[in-house]
Amino acid sequence: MDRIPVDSDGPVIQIENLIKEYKSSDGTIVRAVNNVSMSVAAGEIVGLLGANGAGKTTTLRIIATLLQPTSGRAQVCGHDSIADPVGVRQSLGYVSATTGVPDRLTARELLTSFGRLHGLEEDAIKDRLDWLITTLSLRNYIDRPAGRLSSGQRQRISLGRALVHNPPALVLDEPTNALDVVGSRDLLDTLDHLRESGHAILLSTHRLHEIEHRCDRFVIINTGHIVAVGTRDELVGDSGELENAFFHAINRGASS
Amino acid sequence: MNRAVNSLWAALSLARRDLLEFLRDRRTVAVTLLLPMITYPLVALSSSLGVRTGLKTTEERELATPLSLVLSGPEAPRLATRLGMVLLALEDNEPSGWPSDVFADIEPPGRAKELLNSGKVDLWINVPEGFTKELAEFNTVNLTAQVSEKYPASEKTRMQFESLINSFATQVREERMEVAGVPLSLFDPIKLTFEGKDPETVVANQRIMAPVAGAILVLLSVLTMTGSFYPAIDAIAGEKERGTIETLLIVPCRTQDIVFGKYLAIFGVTIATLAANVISILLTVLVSLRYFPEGSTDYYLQNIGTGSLITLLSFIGLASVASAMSLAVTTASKSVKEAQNTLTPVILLISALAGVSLMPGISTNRFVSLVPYTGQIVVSQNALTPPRTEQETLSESVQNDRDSSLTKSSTADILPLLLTMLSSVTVTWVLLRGTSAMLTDEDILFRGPDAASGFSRPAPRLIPGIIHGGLALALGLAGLWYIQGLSPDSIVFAIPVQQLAVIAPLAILLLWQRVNIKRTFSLYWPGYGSSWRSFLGGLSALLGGLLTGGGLFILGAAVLLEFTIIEMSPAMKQLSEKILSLMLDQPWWLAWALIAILPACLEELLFRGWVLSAFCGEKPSKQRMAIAVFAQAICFAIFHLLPERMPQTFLLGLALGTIVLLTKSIYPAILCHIANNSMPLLLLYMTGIQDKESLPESAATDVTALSLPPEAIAGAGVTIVLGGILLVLSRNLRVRGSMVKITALILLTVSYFPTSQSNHLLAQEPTTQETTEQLQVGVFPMKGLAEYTGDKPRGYSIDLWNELSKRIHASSELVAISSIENLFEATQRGDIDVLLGPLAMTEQREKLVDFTHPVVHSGLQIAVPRDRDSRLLTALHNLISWELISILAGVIGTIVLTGHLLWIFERRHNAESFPAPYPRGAWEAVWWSVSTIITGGCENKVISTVTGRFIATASMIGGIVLVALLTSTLTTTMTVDQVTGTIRSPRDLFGKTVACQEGGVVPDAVEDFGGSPKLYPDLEEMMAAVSNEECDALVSESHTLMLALHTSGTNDLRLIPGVFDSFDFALALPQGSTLREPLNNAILQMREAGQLDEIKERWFGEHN
Repeated sequence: MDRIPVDSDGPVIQIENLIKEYKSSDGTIVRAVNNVSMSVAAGEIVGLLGANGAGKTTTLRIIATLLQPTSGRAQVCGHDSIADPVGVRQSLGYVSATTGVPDRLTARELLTSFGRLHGLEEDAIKDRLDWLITTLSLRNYIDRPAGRLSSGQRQRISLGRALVHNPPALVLDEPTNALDVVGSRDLLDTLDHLRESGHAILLSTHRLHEIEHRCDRFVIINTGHIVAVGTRDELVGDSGELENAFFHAINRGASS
Repeated sequence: MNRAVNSLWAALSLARRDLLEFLRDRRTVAVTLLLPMITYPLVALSSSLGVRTGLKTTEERELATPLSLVLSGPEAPRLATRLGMVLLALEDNEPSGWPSDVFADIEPPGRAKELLNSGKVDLWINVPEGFTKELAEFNTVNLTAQVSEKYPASEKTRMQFESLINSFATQVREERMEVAGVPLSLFDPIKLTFEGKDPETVVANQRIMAPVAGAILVLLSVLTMTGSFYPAIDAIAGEKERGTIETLLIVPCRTQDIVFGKYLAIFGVTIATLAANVISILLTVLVSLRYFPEGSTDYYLQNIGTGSLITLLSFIGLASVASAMSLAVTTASKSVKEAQNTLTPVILLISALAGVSLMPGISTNRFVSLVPYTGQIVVSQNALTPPRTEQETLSESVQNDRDSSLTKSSTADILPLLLTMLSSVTVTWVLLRGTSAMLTDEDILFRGPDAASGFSRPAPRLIPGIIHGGLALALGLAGLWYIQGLSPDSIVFAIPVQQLAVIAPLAILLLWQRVNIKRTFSLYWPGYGSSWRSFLGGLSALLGGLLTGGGLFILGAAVLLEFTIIEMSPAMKQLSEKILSLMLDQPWWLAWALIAILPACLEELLFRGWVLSAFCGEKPSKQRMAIAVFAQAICFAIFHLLPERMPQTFLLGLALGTIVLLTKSIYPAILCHIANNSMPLLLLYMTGIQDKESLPESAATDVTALSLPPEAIAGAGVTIVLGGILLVLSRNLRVRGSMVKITALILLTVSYFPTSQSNHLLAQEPTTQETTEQLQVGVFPMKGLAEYTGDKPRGYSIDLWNELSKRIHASSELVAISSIENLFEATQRGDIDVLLGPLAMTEQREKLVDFTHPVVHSGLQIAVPRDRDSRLLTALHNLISWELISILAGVIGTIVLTGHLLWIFERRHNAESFPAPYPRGAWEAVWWSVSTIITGGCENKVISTVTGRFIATASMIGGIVLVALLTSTLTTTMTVDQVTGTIRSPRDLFGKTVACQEGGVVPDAVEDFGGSPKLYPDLEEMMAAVSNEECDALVSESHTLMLALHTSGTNDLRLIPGVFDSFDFALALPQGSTLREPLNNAILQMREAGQLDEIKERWFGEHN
């Protein structure tokens, strides 16, 4: 498997004091992300855990340059998301539960077009496509319109789309949400491979048991605040299970 | 790797991908290609049928009808027999205007008259005694046909009878010639016939072409727009729903490039739609051409080459605007359903813009080509229609006051094309920029569709927001506009009704948005401080307002009169006359309340209360206040609707706004407004005028004859300055000295005011009377020539004669003679020495009198009834026919019916798209049906049952047919309207009843053009006859006609531009008069000195 190029020794994804505020419909300001800092190094999978509405998706969208932070900064491979969004997009693959694939295009057409949008040469696109077909096992349905595929297959194509330009960083927002047990296991296995090839992966989910043993580190956030950071062992401590540790952290964060 | 991907490359690859996606969507392909292929043949077929039926009904009006006569007198049976012989002899060879049947009754005169007046017969002929004898003796018999008073015979009936009698006369003539032994050919030396095309049909064809082309272009523009809908919905809203838009926003390209790529893809589909439409049109045209006779279409095909090219280019521009617009609309929507909801009003807007191009006369305005949709269609329309004949072009260009060089040449088409292309590119660019900004808008991108926000009453606030201010104004203006049509004629009721219409929206807004009333309307006493200081300050402010208001009125009126800035429009004249009669006819208190108190209070509350507060905001800066005062003054001026009143009301608005902000109270402003509005009343009472008769003659009709003495103006200036000082002082009551000053000023003004206004306000011409015995000069009283309205005749002829008599050292007496015939008779008899006319020099008249050198050269001009409504209203009125309403009802009915049917069949199997509960499910199904008919489909609904699909297919095809029907109805209405149209030039007088002044040269000229003259004693009656549609048009000498139209203030008539049948006009003298030589010399001298022109200018000049 290709090793991906990493420019610097520092963390691939880094966010510092990130704050994001919304104006809600009744005019009050809601702080969705409050002073969040974290980083992901190359060859590492970091799990971002939190309940619905905890601020996971907002954080990841800011990293992916889809949202502008109110203050603080997010960097990918040293590119600042505000000053150099194009640089960030060059170095980042992004998949979320809501990102889909067009129904009337085949996976090959989709991946080729995204290769072009990333400015790749036609030969490079072909090579990348071969690599993706092997890595993501797309061979059986690469030339079928995506509208007729299962959600697991579609999510694989989506992941392929995010990887077409071989980005050092990968941001996944609840990628297994729509998938059944088999589908999510396949996807997560692929992520393990990608980690081995040196990708830095930031993954959010609320299905703790799926990723309990896959992530190198965890960041738990609640109502926009980071309430706990650490490896599984550090977090679990005496409680025995990650889930217990998760609830413990949230309750502690809420009461403090 | 860190650079953004090349912009164009990115856009192109995105466009390529999107196009690929669109092409796999069967519905897109169907709408793009199939719709036009079905639509145009249907439109062509139904419009040609429609036009034919429309023309047929026009012809039916010309159809022959039976003629019924009653004859009386001893020789009636003879006439009856002779008429019977005429009928027999003619058989099939009937002349034009022949009745379909003739019934003749013979009755005694009493009974005959009874029959006539009961409307049972058209005409009564009392056959004169000796009828047969006279005929036999080669004499002319005078035959009088009596027309009923109650049921007057129509023009057609008269023509039919005339035709009958003419044939009779011809028969008699032939008999006489036979008796006299003269060959029949003696009276028919030449026989002329035309061969070839019937001119009527050519003209009709020419007139049909333009509106049909226009309507097709409108349809083309709407269908082109429809072509951009699907791709746009799919490209943005669809991607949003599928979640693929996020993936596009994280590629390393600029947002503009993504938008541009999307735009390119949509543009591609739109262009394909356009191409399919154009091909379909061309094929339809090719097919239709086969139904026209060979060569008859050459006329409109002469421009087809460049025309098509220009049309294609401008429609490519239109496609670009359409694509960008659809893209922008769908980007602003959060879902497919929302996008469709928004596109529906957009297509209505577009149709309105496109439909504007069908308005008559719009194509001559070159700035129209800048308006999206309208412009492109107008440019194409102009390029496609063949050049018009020179005369038409000329008259149209005069009419629209534009230079005629712009009408037709290759360069003339290029400029509008460039303009419209420029506008297309600009609009596209602006829309794309907007789309880029919207695409990354976090709210639109990530927030779900808004939960339906209730229409809840807003929270109370201190003063209204700026939007509330604008809303009160907009609604008030709308109220004022609409109420104009409904308000009663009597001004006593009209004023309160109008005021209420303006204020009602404010009242409703006040109920809705709770504000601090005291603060919003500045309901404070204008003084402040301790009680006595506050009292004095307030008094000073109130008096200041009062003085300023009064002074402003005088000053404004003076400025208006001095510079006669604006010519009074008929509407303004009508208004001043109404107000004048209100002041004279009603008790003073009622007039005062209506003119001054009511408007002042209500308008102040709206403009200086609500609107000014709203515009200022809570804590305004000086600059903001200045802007607010300025803005509300502009609105205040606009509310007065008549342009003449705007400058004055604008100034008043400025002053009133300043007063409110200065004194922080509305009361001085109300007083100021009352004072301003009271001035006309006050002036009227001061001059002691009690009724209309005692007004100076000129004042009632012509305000420019009024002038203000300089003292009044100076007084007004001083009053304003005083008022201003008082107003300023009222806020600065600090020192004891200023109080003394104020008291002094108040005393001073109170004593000064009543004396300051002079009662010589209405300056009158001194009247002198000079009568000596001398030349008898005949004049013909006529507006502008010799007006006998005052004590002394005034007018062109009078001025001319005054100058001439000075030059020939003669004193004279004017004799008014009321008809031209009498004038000539008097001149011939020698009762009159000089006949002022001026009279047209015709050969016939030269036999009766001697003419001097011509004094003026002029011609005839036509006036026709003005369409009472504006052109737009007329066009709309024509459109609202039962046919259209029934089609619309059909459309609505079809939609509702299809919706329900679909729901009935789909609800069990397809609960997702069509829920089973009644109101909601049926609503969804009706919605499907609306979308399908209007935008051709509904993205997010699936139809699963076979029956459902059958119904859906039927409804789609039905939708196309309905659209075609609607279009063809519109086309038909407009086409028939144009063909049966109005008088545009003397040639159109053919067959029309034309009012003419009796005795002049006009009736002959009218007859030369094939019109039937109807004679009237004077111009007023002619105008009345045209106004009440007794006649189709009137023809008269151009100068007097223009003047008469202008001074009468009538709005019913309109001049057709262009003068025809020009004559020299001169003074007439009895034959052999010795005055001819000196008068000719004097005329030549006056011409040299430019006096002839000067006098002409004085009386007719400004109306030319």
